[in-house]
Amino acid sequence: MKEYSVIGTRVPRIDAREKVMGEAKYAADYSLPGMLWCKVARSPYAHAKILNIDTSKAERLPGVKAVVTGKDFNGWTWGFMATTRDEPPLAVDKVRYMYEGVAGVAAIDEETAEEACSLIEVEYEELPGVFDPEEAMKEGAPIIHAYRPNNVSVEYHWNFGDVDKAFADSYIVREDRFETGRVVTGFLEPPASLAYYDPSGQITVWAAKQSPYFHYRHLAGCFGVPLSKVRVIQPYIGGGFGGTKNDSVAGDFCVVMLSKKTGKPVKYIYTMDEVLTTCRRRHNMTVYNKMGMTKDGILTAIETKVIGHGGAYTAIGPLTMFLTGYGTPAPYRLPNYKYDAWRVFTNNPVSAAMRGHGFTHTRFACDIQMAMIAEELGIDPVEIMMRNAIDNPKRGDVYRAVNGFKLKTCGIKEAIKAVAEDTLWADRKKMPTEDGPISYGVGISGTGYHGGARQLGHQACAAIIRVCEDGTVNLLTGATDCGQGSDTVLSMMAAEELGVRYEDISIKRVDTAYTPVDPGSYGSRVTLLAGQATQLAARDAKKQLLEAGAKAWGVKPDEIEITNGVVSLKGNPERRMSFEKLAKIACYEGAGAVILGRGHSDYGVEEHLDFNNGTGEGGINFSFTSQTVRLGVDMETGKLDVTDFTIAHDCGFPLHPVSVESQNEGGAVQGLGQTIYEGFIMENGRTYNSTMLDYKMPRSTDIPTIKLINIITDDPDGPFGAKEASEGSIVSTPPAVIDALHSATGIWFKELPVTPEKIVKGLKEKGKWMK
Amino acid sequence: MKIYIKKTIQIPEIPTDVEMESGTLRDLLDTLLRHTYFVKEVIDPATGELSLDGLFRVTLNGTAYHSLPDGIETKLHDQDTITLTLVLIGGG
Repeated sequence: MKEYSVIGTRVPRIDAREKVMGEAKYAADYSLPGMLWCKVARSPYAHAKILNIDTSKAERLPGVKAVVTGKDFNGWTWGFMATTRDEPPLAVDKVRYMYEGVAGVAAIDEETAEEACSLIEVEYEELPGVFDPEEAMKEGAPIIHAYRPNNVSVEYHWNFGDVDKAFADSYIVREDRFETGRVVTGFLEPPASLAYYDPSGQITVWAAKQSPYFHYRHLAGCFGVPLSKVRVIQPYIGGGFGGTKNDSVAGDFCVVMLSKKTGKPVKYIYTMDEVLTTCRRRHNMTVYNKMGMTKDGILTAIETKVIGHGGAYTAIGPLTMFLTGYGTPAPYRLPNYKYDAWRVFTNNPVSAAMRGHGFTHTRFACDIQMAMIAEELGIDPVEIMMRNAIDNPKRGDVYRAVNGFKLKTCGIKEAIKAVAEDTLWADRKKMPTEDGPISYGVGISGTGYHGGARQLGHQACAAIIRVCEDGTVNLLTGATDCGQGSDTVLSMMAAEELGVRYEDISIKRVDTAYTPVDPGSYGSRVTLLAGQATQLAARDAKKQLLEAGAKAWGVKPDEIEITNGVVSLKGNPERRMSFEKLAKIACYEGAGAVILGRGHSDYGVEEHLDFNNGTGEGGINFSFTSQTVRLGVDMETGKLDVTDFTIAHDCGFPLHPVSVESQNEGGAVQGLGQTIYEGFIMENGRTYNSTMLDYKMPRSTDIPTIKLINIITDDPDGPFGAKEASEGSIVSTPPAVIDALHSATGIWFKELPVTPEKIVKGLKEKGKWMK
Repeated sequence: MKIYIKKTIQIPEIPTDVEMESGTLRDLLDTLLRHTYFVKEVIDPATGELSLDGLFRVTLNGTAYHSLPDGIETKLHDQDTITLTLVLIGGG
């Protein structure tokens, strides 16, 4: 492996100081003179026609400056795909989930706006609702969208190979039903935006957006203004994780419309109650999985039927259902595969993307089933994984999955080996298995996740490097750091390519008026695509500098090198100058020059995604993760104490080890939360646990000891060999926890979250409950 | 003449093949798209004409329509295949 000066080092995060010292400004921290506050009035029904809205009392309340309803948006609707833009900014003819927004108020303060919302009189005709997707698909179920009378938002039917023959020829076939839970994306900073629609027709917003260019297009479309007149200024973002902050919410559209009406800046901040009752959540899914194996434990076929609980609108659902099936042929060789999926509308809040998008559901089902079959066949779980795991292709070779995606590197075997040899697994039989009512268990998983999302469309990232005459460097890119650490990594890449110090790079926050357009922060794409763009921009700037230096020294540009801010001749290192001096020569010699480097990612799209057939290249490469978990179960109360994780993650090459560690740790803890703690408690469309006290996300005291092992595969398609390191561990954690739970109790739990109540119920059913 | 229609995303309103006497690519696309749920996305409100760029990539027998000599006015022939590939653009 090549040695780098900056890449691979443990530099502090570029935004650490501001965040830790409380100096970072988030959307909620911004104010403008004369600013008004916005609140959204919401429906008390999950499914109802809107017969009339009377806003007159609200408008007469002192302090209220304007009120808007759905009709103010002139029938505009939005959604991820042009073919299914079915969601209005505010409900117009009917509401489709409880607390859907029906009106927005701008007032002098939040309290007045809130009071005004209570004065808005809405005449509803309540309609029967449907809250379970299998009920929603039945003949006679209430119709949620007229254009989908069977309530099926999208469906796919893919077929690769011959699963029927493969199952017929298998030694063992298992069929199981799994459920993944209804969970929130989990950001701590709620959606917020300050908007100003100025008299010239320019819209400016300071908005908490993970992908600000999504919002910029939404606003241009909604308000009929050209993109050049929409400016999204991005503050620091307090977590994204996909879903809500990649979309717009009712408040976003209301503040712009209210600003247009009042001529004043208008701001909203959602409460956490609004987040937990109205914002996007991860699709929960029912997975019917069928797996076949030979007597030697070799995978023959998988047939998966998935019902996605879609909620009230389409949003990004078609992509979610695609990704849910897309990744199943990795990390194990799979010769025959059938996937049938239905995403179904219900009168619940909208389901959308979340970290681990789609893969979390089916990898959970497949990994658990593989472990179940290993138990039935009497094969060691590590052995069965190794027998089926895809080998790391030799350099230049490509592994092609049954549905066509390609792998040039695959570190799954190395990852499994690493965790198997680690003490947590290797010495598990030497550790205590019982202590009073506590039964201990150790589990293992092996999973994969794709990164570098790219599809047909506006998918290229871009970067600009501006070399200042004092030798310091500005980096501008439209890619967003929503807390995952991409600003740090991109700055490191720029420093490495230019040959300067990390601290000489100053990366600017996204401002759509100045930064290049960017597809967004999702699908673990920023390090890969914005990273490549940054590399190319830095090389472009460096080329200009070397040409200036070559002219000054009377040599060729390729005779000069720059390392750690020192410029020298390769053949005579004693001849040297500082980077600052080179910058001054370049900027001031002759008529002077402005040193600007530009670059954009050029991965292209080799095979378009075909949603109907399940083929195409949706990303750039795959990461692979193997994980072990140790936990203790109280066999009386069902309470779980998860004590240890060991995670071996193939991220290609850890560009910033600190970020790789924190991302893997964070993903694993988030995965733990979704496995044993988190789940919306709902009935007839109403969410009952809409506070952070009742919706139980893991706290710092719940976090196990986490050990991370980096698996290096040096992927040829990632900048500096990188692959994703943000989402793999949220995929690997749930099956590893369930495997550990089985190790402790002898029970396979297939419905998430596995709460103490479910554990006690399971123990009682098996006659294992310790009274 | 029979024209085949391939799609990379689910559009229940658009069949997999159509029979037509004669016509151009524009004629067929107009007929197909004006009956879809998302018709307002593909019609320019100012002109009432089809506006596909940035929404769909349309190929005729594997060639992007804007690369054809007659573009969208290209006459169709029996057994031609049109492929509609949705352009995915976040927020677009």
